[in-house]
Amino acid sequence: MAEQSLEKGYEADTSLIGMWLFLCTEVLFFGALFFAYFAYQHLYPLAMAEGVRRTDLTFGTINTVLLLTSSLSISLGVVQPRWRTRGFVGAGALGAAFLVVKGFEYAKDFQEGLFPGPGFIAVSRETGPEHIFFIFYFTATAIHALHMLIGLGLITYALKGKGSPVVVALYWSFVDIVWICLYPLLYLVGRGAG
Amino acid sequence: MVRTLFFAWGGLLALLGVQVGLAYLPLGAAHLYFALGVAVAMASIVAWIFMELIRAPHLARIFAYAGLFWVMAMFALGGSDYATRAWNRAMGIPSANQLPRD
Amino acid sequence: MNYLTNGWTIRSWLLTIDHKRIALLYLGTITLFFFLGGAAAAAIRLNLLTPAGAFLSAEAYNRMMTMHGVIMVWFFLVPAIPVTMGNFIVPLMIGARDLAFPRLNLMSWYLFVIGGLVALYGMVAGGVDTGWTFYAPLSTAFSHGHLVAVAVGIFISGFSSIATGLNFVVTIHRLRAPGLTWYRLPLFLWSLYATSLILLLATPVLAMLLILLVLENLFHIGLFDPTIGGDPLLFQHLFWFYSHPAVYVMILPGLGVVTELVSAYSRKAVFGYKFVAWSSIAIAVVGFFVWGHHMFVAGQSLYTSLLFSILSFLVAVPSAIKVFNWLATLHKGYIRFDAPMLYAFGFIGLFTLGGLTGLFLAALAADVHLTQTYFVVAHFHYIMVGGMVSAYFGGLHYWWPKITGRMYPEMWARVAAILIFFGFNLTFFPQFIIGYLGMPRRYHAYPPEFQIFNVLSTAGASILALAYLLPFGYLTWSLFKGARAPANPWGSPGLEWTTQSPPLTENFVEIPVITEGPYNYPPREGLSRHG
Repeated sequence: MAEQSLEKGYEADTSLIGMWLFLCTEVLFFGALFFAYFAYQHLYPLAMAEGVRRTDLTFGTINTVLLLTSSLSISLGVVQPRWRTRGFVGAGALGAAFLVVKGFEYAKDFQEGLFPGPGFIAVSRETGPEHIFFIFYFTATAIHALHMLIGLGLITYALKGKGSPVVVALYWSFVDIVWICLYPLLYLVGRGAG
Repeated sequence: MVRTLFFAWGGLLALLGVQVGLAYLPLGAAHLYFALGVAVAMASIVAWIFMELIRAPHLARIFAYAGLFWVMAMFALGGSDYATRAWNRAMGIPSANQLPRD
Repeated sequence: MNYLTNGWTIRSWLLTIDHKRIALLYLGTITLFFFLGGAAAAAIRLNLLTPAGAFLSAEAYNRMMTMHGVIMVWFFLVPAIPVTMGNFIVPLMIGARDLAFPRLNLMSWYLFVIGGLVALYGMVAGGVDTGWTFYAPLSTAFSHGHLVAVAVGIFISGFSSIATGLNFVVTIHRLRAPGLTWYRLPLFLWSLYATSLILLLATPVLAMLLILLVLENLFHIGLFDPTIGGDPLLFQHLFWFYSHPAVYVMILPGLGVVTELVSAYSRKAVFGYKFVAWSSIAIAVVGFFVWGHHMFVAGQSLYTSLLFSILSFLVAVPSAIKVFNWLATLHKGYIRFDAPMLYAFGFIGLFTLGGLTGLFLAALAADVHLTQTYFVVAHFHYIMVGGMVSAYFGGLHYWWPKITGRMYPEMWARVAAILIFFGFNLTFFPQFIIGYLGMPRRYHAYPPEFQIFNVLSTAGASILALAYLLPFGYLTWSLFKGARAPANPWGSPGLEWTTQSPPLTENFVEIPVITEGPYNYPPREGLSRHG
């Protein structure tokens, strides 16, 4: 690739473009799950609302704040080279905190019989198939958590000086965007009196 | 740039507050659309400012918007099935889904 | 000294980042899968010799037809041209030393192999009997077999597809030689670019669906189970959102190869370059918006079906544009009937026939009668086997001298090409007839009045099997005894032909600077200039 790098930063731009293209595939990946969500939201709005009321809003909101701040942290690490280590370590720490909170949340969810399958405890039969909401809840948050773990690995990689920090930060912020879209659907839509 | 990032973060937290508040307003079925709107606003801030999409190479922006466009097409075309199946039923054509709708 | 002689250890092959060696690793792997899928096809055709099912039980037959579909779709057709000829030729055609991400390329091969092994394990350990489309709730509640292993295998190989697509798109955008503008690219690259777009955008949707399918299978969560509120049609939407564009993944590289062959063997610039180039992009884009035509009778909304029907008619237009441009290229060309050209001719005829029959299926009223019959089976085999496999062999023969440095034996190659054409038609034309007459697909037994057509079809299949073995034989022979190939045995323009045969590891001694279009044949005396 050396001969093609006629302009300074051509290779760096190529990596950036490559990551955006990869993120494009991730949009379709999560998009498929969102499509399934919207299909069932259309078919069973009452059952989905019932599910939303049973998620833990405190845990969910705390997690959202953690992720938004970790995105800030990693972006600071990218634009200010002298804050690089602090920014990335901070982002990683906040991300790890997110996963810890999620762990506590899952434990509580299991205890309340929210895991779909034979052990699922429905609140009422009349609203419709409530377990479908929880299929989304667990699938979406688990896959998101997996992406967070991969992101933590990438951050470690970047801190060791390998790989491009800008590219890692892109991935990390994208995973944040996925959560921003998930959060209202899993914790808010249908919760209140409305 | 650093100041912009902090402002963006502040904006995100403010929007989060709006997002939570909306859930307690009597919006009915429209709440979904408001919630999605706020989510889109938040995602845009993260994409344009944190991920620097506005300053990214031209091609990166094309790829980003292409992904969005494609997922919208999936929602629109696939969603048209769910949106119009009831019209099927009105004409007496059975649908694949057996349970009664709410 | 060339890329083949540059390192003799197994390590130098298994840890290579040379796109040419990776292409050969892939070539070996997909050849193996082609024969495995072909063996399943042989079992199918043998069984269908008699109306009661000659030698397979219904359960065994279902496993065979599923295995045939799964292997041929995901482990042969989807990768075929991109990972072999694409990997080998793309950097050569754009004047680069390698793809944009060489190590990602190697990883894509390993992912492909691992995915293939996991899927094969599933098919051998117990098999899957749902058909390659494994619709839920059949596949999650009622079928017997190792669905999870097969699904995981396909999931893993999906990452290979995405990696390949990403590599090609970034390479074509960023690594073109100086002076090589988009409209100076060979049209094969436009096709591969379009293919890569589809791979990138469609495969992730399949990945998500496979995750949901595996979860449903393992934990019986009930997402697609209608008895507890699930929607089976949701499965089909997600499945076909990938699988319809996937068929364009399978055919677009073939369309690109045929464009190159038609030009090379009529020694003429491709007629209507921009039309052919943009028709590839159009196929890729519009191909994403037609998936509902697989669900016309599944319970999809009639209004959605109408929309998908119209769009399905539209997607035929860019393909037709290509066919017309090929014909215009042939007109007043200096045509040679070398084996690759015979394959290209076969492609044009068989692809056109297969494509036209797709229009029957796109029409709602006709589809009600033709869907799930052998008419559909014949339709897609005309395109995939008559079209795509012919293009694959055509391209393989065309670039064989470049890849191996040897010429293949021309007479044997022509015999094989002609045998393939006749064997193919004998196999699949009767299937249009029985499909129209109402024989359902995926049945291990059938009413006696269809027997004669099934016997003809099986006879054709045995000719086809022999014909496919021929290239395997003589191409292997040519590796040891074939005549040494010059750099440009066909006299084709194009950067890949300016390198030695086989090329150096680094492809070019010096990166070329491009100053002219891709199909610059010298003008012939006595004829007016075309193109």
